Amino acid sequence: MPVSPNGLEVLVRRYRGRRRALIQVLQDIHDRYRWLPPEALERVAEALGVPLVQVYGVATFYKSFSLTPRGRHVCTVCLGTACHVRGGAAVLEEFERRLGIAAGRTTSDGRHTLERVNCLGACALAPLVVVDGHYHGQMTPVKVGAVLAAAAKDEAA
Amino acid sequence: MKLTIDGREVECRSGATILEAARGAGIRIPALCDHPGLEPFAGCRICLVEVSGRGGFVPACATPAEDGQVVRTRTPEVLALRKRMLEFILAQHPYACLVCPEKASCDDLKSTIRKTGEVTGCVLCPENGDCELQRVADEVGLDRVDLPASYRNLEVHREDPFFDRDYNLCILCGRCVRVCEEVRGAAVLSFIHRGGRTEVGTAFGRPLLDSGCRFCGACVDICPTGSLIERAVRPQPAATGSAEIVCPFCAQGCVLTLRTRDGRVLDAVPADAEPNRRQACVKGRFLVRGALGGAGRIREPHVLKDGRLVPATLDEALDRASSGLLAAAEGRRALVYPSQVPLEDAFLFLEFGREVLGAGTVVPSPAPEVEMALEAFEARHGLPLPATRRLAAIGASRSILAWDLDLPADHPIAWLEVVKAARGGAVLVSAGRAPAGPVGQAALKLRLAPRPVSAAASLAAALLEAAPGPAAAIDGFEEFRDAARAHAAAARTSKRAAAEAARAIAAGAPAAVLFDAGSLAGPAGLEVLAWLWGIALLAGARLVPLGRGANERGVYEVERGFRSLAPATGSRELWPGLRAKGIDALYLAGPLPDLGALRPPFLVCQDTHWSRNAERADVVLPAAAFAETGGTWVNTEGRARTSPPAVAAPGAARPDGALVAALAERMGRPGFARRDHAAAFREFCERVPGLRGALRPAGPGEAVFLPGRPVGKARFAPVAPASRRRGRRPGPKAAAGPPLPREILRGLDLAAGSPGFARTRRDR
Repeated sequence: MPVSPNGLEVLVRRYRGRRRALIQVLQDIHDRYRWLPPEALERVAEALGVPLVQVYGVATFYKSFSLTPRGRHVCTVCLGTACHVRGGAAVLEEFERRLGIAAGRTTSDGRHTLERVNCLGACALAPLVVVDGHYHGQMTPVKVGAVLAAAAKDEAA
Repeated sequence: MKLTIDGREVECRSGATILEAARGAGIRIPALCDHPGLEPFAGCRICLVEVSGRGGFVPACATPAEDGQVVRTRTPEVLALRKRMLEFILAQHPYACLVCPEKASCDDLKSTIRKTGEVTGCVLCPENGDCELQRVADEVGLDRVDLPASYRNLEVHREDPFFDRDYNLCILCGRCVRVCEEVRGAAVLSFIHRGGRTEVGTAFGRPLLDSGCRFCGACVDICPTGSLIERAVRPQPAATGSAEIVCPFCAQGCVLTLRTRDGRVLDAVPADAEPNRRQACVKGRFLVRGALGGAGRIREPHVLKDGRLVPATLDEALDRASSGLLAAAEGRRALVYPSQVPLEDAFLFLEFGREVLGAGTVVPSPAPEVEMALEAFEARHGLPLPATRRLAAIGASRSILAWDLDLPADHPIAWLEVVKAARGGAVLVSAGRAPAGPVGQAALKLRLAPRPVSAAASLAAALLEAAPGPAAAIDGFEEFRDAARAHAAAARTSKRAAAEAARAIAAGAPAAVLFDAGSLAGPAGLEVLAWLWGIALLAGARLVPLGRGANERGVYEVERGFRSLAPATGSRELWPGLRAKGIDALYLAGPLPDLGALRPPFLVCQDTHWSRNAERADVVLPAAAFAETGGTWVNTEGRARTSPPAVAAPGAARPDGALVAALAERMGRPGFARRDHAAAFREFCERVPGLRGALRPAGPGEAVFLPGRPVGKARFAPVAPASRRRGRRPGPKAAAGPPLPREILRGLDLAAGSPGFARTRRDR
């Protein structure tokens, strides 16, 4: 989605002057654009009265904020301790092979972004993969194709 | 409050931290992230101590001292833990040299100077020997690091003027981040990323130049490692001498420590003295060395021979100068004396102008404009303006109105007081431009365009709504009120912004109204001042005039004293005389814009640096610069301080006073060159009411101030009625000449002399 001054204004307006709302407003922007464009950070700094560098510091601190554009489907593979011992690495490899990108990258057609995280806090489901907010527990490399197909179907629908 | 530290009873003020209490009693607790002047951070965990009754260990820098507390700072557990903490810190800092068993004899054993772009150990670090991390490592007694060394291999930032940033040496103490926000109000730096990838940086990794940095150097001076290093200092050997001088670049009069070696200045760092307390600005921190030793210095006397300036002996130059000056008729001689010199020298110039030169015109340059505006205000209204001059008064204010100022650039120390007040909850109202950074961002803004007088009147009218009452009993209130309402009704400025600003000022007592000569620029300057004074009366605010040029306040007072003792006969205006071709000989020792076609038939230039005028003079005399000559400097507060000579003048340059005396001797006044000139000046000061006592020798650390002026009963100054014909502009004042570059030191144009400095000022 292209970033427009008006679009940003709508998101930022209700937090004007509220320094403590920084993470909230960044989340709102991230939900809408799937990343934090530089002009959005500048606008947030101005509206909330927070120095730009501090907005940038917060934006780089959290793994859930991306400072580069992300694909329409975000696949997050957990490699926390539990997921790791139960074969998370093989699942990640299969995603990399099928999408043709390394973890942390976005496919050139802008469809998929692949990410690895260090724990999603749902270790009972290990190995765990989250695609567009849907949790897929007890993943195996074999299931990767089906998970990606389900995401593609969502898009078509 | 009393507590026990390591078995000793220690007293401290309430509110102090354990670290402060220990320091007060001379008990050393090592610490890295803590720094006086910054808020507690508790980041480095080096200052961990044990407190009875509390489990575990607490950081002494962030734990308040309590009555009856028992603190132990050197138990075996604490000492071991400190070592462990330091190991974690050093895991990402090149540590081999720090824990090397041979480090004490390293300088003796090291046989070659290695040249390398990367610092991988203390021996290659410019901070070696002057490094807090080294000191703390010694103090903690660390002799090995059990963690694997990890070198981050980050690119060194070399893109900005004046200093480099090598974050491979950074220990993430956050001092630079905090001083930038807490003290300087710039907030250009922050921690970026997280965990092992954390580093200090700017937004989007942009150069400092594009991040709102003002290059004050506070981060460089507060860094405990070699991460932030003044570029020019890198290859320098250690200093062998130092002197505390008064900074000559603006009217705040910061005290700088000049580090010297072999008669050369290595660097200038802000001293822990009033009024700047370890802070400076880009000019004081980075331009001193260049101003003394850089290109453009006049090192030898010159005389005009066959249409060309050629080097000459001092005798030859002085002979030419005296015969040329004597050839002109008394009333057709003029003297432009520098205001950016010690008072003793300014005094000699004034005496020379009156007694020897018999000059028809004697003017200081740069002119002490704000003092002259106050004098003109007094003359117009018969009302001495009760001005507050102490900068500390700004920091104690709850609301501040800054009228058309560039505080961080022109008044850096006053700006620090504004930051201090704002962090304590005070409101800043910025009329005209607002400074960059969070304090300026949070400021209420008032537009000055199209007419500052209308903006001021609108604010006054809004204040009458917000805070009617106490000022009503002051003389002239009704007239002022009616004028304010009439002006405001006709003004096109935003009523809402004025009302918001007025409410903030009325609610924030005590308030301060800040202005400088630039705020009063233009033909309506005195009108603006009358409005600002009215606003101050309505708000019960202090009026704080800020001088711009170094020593201009002191030189102005000396000149005023001169006038009060012997009423001036000549003119105090130079340009009308020049334009009317009424000046045949000009002794030019202060900076002037290029005279061009107005150059008088005979011109003597006495300066530290070559300028357009010096290049076209008949005689050029080389003057010693600020750190090469001692004397008294008075800042905008009236704070007097003696500045010693720190280095010798280059070539044949002589102190201004010596040149003036030698010239006087040649012009037939041998008695003029009194042997103890400083004593004569002190005697003069005792005779002048405005200077009396100001220059008496004070005890160490004791501040000496010019006495304040007597002020009468407060009353509003009458203001001109609202005019229907808007946009009418009176013609330019005939007396004014073309403007000087904004930032100069005598013949040195700072921006022209330093490309790095010019880059920091590109938005002006």
